[in-house]
Amino acid sequence: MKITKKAYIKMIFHGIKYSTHPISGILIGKNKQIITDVIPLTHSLLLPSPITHVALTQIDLYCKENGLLMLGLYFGNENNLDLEIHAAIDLIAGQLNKHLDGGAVLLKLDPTSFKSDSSGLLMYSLSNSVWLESSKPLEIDWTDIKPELKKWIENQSYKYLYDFDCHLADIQLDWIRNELLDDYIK
Amino acid sequence: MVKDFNLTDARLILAHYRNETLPGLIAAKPCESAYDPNEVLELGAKIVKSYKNSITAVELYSIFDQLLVASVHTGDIPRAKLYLTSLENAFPKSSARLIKLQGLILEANGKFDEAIQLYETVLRSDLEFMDISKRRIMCFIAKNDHKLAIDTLVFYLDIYMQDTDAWVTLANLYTLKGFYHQAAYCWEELLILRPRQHLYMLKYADLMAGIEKLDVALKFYCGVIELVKDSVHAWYGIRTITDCLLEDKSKATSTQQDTWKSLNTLANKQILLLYNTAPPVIKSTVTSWLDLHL
Repeated sequence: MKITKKAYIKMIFHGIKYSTHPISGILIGKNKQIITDVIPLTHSLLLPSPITHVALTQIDLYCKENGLLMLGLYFGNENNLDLEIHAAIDLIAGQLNKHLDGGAVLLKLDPTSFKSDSSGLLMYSLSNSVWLESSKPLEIDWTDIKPELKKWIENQSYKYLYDFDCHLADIQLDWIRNELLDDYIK
Repeated sequence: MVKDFNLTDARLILAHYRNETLPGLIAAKPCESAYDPNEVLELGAKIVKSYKNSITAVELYSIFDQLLVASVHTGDIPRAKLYLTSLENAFPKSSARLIKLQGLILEANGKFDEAIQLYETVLRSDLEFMDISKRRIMCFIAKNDHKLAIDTLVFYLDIYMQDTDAWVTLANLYTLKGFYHQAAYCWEELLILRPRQHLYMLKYADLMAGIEKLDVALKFYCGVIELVKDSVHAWYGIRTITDCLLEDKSKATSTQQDTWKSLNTLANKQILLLYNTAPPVIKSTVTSWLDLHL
């Protein structure tokens, strides 16, 4: 499974903007081989609640309109040392897997492994109803991203990433496309 | 952008941060934190450097306290230690407030076990210190020991049952571990303490819906609307729940069904109204979503 620069940066931005919160979002792509984009969901604990259902359904509509697929979920726990896949994440990732007819991916942001030579992402796939770490690593063109990431973090470009929680507070914010961010992360 | 420094404004802003009362001029934008540690560092540093003699000793040391905490928030531990030294020179070793700040720096360096030991020296004495009890609990959370954090927090709340921050922390811990009924109990306690806090109502309603208590969830989403008429979160909740309730008509009386139908229609109308001024691409997704269930 590959991931594009755009998708990776958006995930990292989500994590940095809400560094003291648990975060989660949806992975998007045209096919099951490459993640081309992400849609950030929340910076509070993900729950199987009506509002999560609304967000996922709206993302599904967006995907159908644009010939895209919901490839899985990414998440980051509040505590750096907490590497567990908690109940709600497990449940919703499982539902996404069913929706995709198998092959969904779960990506965990692991800040302690985020170093100069590592992307800080752990990839899981479903095997007999259990999320296991994938034997093959996530393919990412790290050399292309590394030099610019530092610059974008320093100029706080991550401020312009909005998730569904932000949208509920201000419905003018386009949490699905986050086009404002495209100007900053060319 | 360089703003002219105004001592009165700076002191006012720092005082508001201390008292957690923010005036209109620093009202937070949606989804941005109202607390900016960099602002505290900038203003506080100027005051203690150039205006030490224009303020009282009490205010000066309160500002040192704030500067220490703000330094920890921005990860500048050496700077935090400098402020700690100034405070250690002014207050006795046994000061609980001082020990709390020493512990905070230990925590910032990842030395949670040492911080816990330090806090426990204070807690073993006769006096109960809320702040230090809480820091100890946060250390357990930071060490990822959720069970111990939950047990200690429950014991703490038996004593300090009015502490809303503690109830919220416990609710989140229970939610994280999947103990949704216990988390719901916490939100219920919070709603007793703050009956008009719509954000607590939303959390409670979301959770109730998640554990299939749809009638309770609906009641509380409506409760949010009574407080905040344009809460799009609550209208989404009402629309989604009434959709579910109307699907399974077997258990409901006709009066109930009429109520649900009316709420469903009303929610539809309100969501459309609220999104009327939204950007076209967003409005189009929401309109498609609304059409899905009709």
